[in-house]
Amino acid sequence: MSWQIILFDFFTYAILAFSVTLISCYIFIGIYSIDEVRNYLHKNSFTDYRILAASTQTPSISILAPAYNEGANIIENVRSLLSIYYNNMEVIIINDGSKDDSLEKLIAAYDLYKVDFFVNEQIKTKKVRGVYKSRNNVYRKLLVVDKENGGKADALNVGVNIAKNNYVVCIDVDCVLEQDALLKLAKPFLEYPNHRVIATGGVIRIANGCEIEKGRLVKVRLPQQFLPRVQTLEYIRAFLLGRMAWSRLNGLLLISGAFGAFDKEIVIKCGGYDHKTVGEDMELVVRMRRYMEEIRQPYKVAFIPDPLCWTEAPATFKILGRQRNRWTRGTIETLRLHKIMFFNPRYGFLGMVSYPYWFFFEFLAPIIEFVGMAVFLISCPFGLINWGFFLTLLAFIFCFGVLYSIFAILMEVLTYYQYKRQKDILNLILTAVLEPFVFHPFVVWCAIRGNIDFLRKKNSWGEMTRQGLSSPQKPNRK
Amino acid sequence: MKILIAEDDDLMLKTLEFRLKRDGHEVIVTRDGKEALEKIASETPDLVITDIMMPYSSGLEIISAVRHNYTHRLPIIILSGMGQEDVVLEAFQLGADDFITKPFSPNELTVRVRRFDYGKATNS
Amino acid sequence: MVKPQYFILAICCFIIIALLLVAFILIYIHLKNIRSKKQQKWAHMARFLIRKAIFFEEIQNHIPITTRVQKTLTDVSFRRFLTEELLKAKKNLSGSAADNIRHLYLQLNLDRYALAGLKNRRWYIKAQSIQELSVIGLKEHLVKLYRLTNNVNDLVRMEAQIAVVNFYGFEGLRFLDVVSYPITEWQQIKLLQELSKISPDNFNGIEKWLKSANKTVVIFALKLVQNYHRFELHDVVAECLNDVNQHVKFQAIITLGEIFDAGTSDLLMGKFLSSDLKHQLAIIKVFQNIATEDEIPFLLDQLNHANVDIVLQTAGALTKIGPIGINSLTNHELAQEYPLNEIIAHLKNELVA
Repeated sequence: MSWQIILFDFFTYAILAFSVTLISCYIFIGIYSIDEVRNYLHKNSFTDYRILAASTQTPSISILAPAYNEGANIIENVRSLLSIYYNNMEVIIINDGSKDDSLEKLIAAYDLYKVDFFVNEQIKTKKVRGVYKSRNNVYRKLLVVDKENGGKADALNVGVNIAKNNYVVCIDVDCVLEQDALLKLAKPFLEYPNHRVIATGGVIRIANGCEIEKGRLVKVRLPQQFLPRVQTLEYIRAFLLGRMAWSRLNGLLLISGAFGAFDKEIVIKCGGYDHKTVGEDMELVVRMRRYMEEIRQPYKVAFIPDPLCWTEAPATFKILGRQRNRWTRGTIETLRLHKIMFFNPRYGFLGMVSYPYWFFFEFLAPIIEFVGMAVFLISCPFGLINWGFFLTLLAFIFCFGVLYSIFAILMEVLTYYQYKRQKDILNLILTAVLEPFVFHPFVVWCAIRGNIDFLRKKNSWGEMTRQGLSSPQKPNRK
Repeated sequence: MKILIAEDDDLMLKTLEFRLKRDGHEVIVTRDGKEALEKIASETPDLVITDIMMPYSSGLEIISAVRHNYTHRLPIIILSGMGQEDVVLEAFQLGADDFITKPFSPNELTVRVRRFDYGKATNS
Repeated sequence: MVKPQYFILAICCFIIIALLLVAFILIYIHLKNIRSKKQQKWAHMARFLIRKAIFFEEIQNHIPITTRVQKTLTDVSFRRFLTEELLKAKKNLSGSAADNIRHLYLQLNLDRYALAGLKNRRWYIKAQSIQELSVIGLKEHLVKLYRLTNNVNDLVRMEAQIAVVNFYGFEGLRFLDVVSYPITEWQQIKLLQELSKISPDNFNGIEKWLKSANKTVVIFALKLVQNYHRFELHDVVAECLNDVNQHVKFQAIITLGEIFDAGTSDLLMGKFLSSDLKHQLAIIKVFQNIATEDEIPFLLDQLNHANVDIVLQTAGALTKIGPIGINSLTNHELAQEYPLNEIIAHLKNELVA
């Protein structure tokens, strides 16, 4: 037996073991999640959220929406934010030194004037150039902050400094929110008498292809382009089958940067968003969790499975690539910053399960996959491949992947039923079959690029150009 | 009177329509804020009855839009489950003429609507 | 080496399961579409019936029901649908219209199913039934509902508590004497909301609740004192300031702000130094509403506090006192320095707005 064969066998078994563990985790998380979603839906069926809408006892919320070069859409987006049903709230738009005329447009549209405003700089940020309020009483909940450009994290920190309420909701300004999104997001803060809920996240849905009017979702449609559609599938899997389970185990590490609520006091105690990392949303949640573990206070990070927020997904490989590259670098940076928690019993479930899971199955998985493929390609000319074994292994993983996606689609149909046509479902299933061939390799490649870029210490957001949410794929706007 | 109703609950909408028609009024039904504002512009009703929590625009937005855009005083009655003090105050501050909280009595609604029927009774 | 046969077996299983699931999904959607069309017809029928009931004048008689409706009532889903519509209508209407809806509900014997639901094992059916009985207003089942106010399942508990308060107002709060599970803040909001619908006669029992071992009951009682301005309980509330539980202490401070008497300010000032930051902030915020010129020296002291938030809120309290307060603020030795100078500019702006 030559050493190559031994090495290769060892390698194959290692990958097999890894895959089996991964698959088992997915199955467990999937089943656990569904149970929790069902529980939630039953609870929801007789909850009257409107009570919260008018009550003065609700958690006070400050919505923080950083804006950079949003252009003309910003007027409508702000208007839809202001029309959300919630009693105790303020809306803070942070203009992160936009190069276009967003600020002027806002000042004109909302009759804004500059006020003397004391900014309690609890977190260090770039300079605030001015704070604006409206002369019109209808817009009294609106606050617009103009600051020097500093990135999303810095803008959010300014928002945190300025916010007067107890909870901050960080959103992307062009997110389309459901009417009762805030009510649903606020409720977990009130439901745990023995724990402090430090953050709540909701489900992000893909808005591509949907009909959106004046900042409100009119009709849900499956995206017509392949890339957004496959991301829809990805999001269904991640949110419906993943996050609920983690939330139930109190091990949720990630709250979407597009929409999440946080306990302001804890955010400030932790030092706010870290502007040196590109994964500031994940990093903050991990840091907040770590803080609560370190001060030994019972806490929870909650998650709402309802679709609360609709956002535009990248539709081209180029922009998707940048996004995934950034996500990878963000993950690595976060893992690195908090590596003390790795299998550290002092951090409880967070250190013993959540962090290792993230490390092995979110960070390492693409690398292992890539290395596996590379080894395979190299071994080809040496005739080391047991083709029978290898192909069946590949087929095994492929079939499991497709089965898992189909299971996710089934869950989506049984719970939120957003896509109601048989045609759409078949389309999704077809997408699930195509995903391992087209989408998945690209994502893995982006992850590898992310690792390389991280090692090269690149540190930028990249220009995120957006197509604009109001225009669906076909010209059938109202 | 020509009355415009803005209400997103179907049963309530039909109930109001039925009752007001029975009282002899002409009724225009709308299901959300956007439709309401459009119909106010196109149909020029004599009275508007609106809920607060509706899709697209809240009833309060309707009041401020109407007060902002029209010179003649179009009477607006709010019919809403949000009966908390500050909501009521805000509605009146924005220019509402009456505020009925849910649960409400259709008989009471009839009487309140009649208050705004001045001058038209002789024509009907 | 792992035999490929096992893999192939697994692959076949996966494929079969996948195909079954796909078939299931497609059939399910098909059925749902059919059901949806049926539901539209049902909606029409149900709403027509309910509307007829709402405007029904002859109270003593039976509301006429078509044979078609009678037949469809045997279908569980239609019954559920109709019940939901009835409940929605009942929540929105009052007076004779509401009585008629109740009349229709009882005439159709729908209460039978709600009572059966109370005994169901599944918590969500129990809770739904409780809500149903509560909305329709079937007070004769009070005892059954009262027993459920300390049920192990939190949603059953919550619905039962709301139901008894709905039926008997403040008298219904008696469950606070015995409830052993915590009452969440969400539940407290719902209870207060329910209570706000009725006129507050002088109800008893708050003193007992303020001393309960269940801390959430204490907090809820404090909120009751606050909302209903029970000035006579001032001293009992003051005792809560010494409670070990931080949330109780916090709520006690806020409540005192609503039932303050001549001694409240001194009491709070006395507690100030020994309190942690969160409670200090709460005390200052209370002073924003109750401070008089007598408290000015204390407030001026706090302008030197290390925490900027406290300084900001203290400055706010001084401005609320009136011209004397504002003058003492602007004449303070630190008034020209940061942060006080900016705070003063900010507050001046708010006064004008």
